[in-house]
Amino acid sequence: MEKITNLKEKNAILTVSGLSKHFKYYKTLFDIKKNVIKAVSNVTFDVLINEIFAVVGETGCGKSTLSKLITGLITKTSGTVYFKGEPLDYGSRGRKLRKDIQILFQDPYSSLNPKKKIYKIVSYPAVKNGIIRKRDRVDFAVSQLKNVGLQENTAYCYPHMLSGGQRQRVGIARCLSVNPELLILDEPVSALDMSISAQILNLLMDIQEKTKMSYMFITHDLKLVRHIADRVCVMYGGKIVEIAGSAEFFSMPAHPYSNVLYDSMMSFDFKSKPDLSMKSLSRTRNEQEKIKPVKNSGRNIGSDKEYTKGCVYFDKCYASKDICRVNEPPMENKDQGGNRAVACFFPFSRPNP
Amino acid sequence: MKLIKDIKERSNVGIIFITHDLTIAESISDMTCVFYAGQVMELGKTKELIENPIHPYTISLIKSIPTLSVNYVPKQRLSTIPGFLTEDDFSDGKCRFYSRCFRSNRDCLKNIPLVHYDTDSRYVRCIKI
Repeated sequence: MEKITNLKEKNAILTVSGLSKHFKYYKTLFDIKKNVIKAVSNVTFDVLINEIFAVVGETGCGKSTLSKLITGLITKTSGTVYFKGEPLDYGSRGRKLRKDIQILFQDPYSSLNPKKKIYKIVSYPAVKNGIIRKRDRVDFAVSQLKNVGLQENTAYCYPHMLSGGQRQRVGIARCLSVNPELLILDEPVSALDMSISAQILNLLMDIQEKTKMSYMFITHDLKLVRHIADRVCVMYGGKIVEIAGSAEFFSMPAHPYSNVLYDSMMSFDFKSKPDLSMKSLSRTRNEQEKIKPVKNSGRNIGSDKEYTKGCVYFDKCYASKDICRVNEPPMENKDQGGNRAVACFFPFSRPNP
Repeated sequence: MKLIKDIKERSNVGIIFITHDLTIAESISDMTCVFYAGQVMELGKTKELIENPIHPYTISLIKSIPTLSVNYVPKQRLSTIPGFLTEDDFSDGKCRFYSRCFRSNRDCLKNIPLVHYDTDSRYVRCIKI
């Protein structure tokens, strides 16, 4: 595996090329042949320096598998992950590199060890990576906790003594303790209530402004994506179906699945700017804003059937024609601006009313 | 969501839907009850409650949602409710939202009753309305 040479040109911190992960399993106890689920298949994208890259998609489409592949928590089947231009290896060879990729998990309740005090949790990665000595770890943990807006006395608490928002802040402090350059956020706010999630998002954006690091933001909430992301990547069935700049995506999603996702998004539609005097919020709502569920016809993700050819989305798609069944649409630039790539033969088609 | 609605239509059951996402509450429910520190802060028809929130906590909660309107600016700071819910907030003798409220003053240092507000089936626990 050679280094990528045109890194300066691309300005990319993370390059994923042709990454695949196939899970094998036996359908019954006495099966001779193993079945294969292609959780992630042939995924290629870049995350640029100082960019917030959002990955959206339905449950089970491979978003979290992708994040685990990048951090090296599971081994890949094929493909390469380049970080800062160097191929990311598992084992001791890639350890120095992998220090700069940190991951923040969805559930702040189960991702912290309940038997350890907060200062141990926060300082452990730094001690392990040789950034600080073990005897300095309390002071180090306190300074890290202050960075994320927590009190000094939280350092001596156990995780169960903290609220959900505080725990997620502890998770952020743990990630930041080794000064990473890429932070993978796996649904960081979906377990938190609205005002706490707003606090966490503000904190994450402040940190990004200060440290100029890159975020890979995995979520299924398009409201958050629009709020936070620079580029959006839509996944379906283990494949990327659209990558676009945030502004382009939200003005006009190109892939039919993106369209359906966009239409099923729930929100208040504030026609006028929210009244900042905090007195009243008036709201008008269009008829078409009502929820449209994604039509669930045909197969589910991870079903037993082998789909080797054709588009992953063809049997749920409103725009599918015969060609979609036979040929797999390549990722192509279908926009004049060049800030969008779509895997579809019929992009920009709207669903029939 | 559609499944829950279908079940409601078909079997005529009542549903208590517990969530912290007001956008989901808005799309599924008829009545909404806003809960804070073990007390009902505001109760009313969902549409009225979201279009015209009265309690400071409800107002702050709605303001902290990133909206999808046309003139919405991405990456602006979201409005938040300062501080955390602490054990102290559960004590009697003051409004439970007292320490985080943008309207609170000395008048709030007493037990606040849940009172009927002018429209039908609307209740609010706040004296500063």
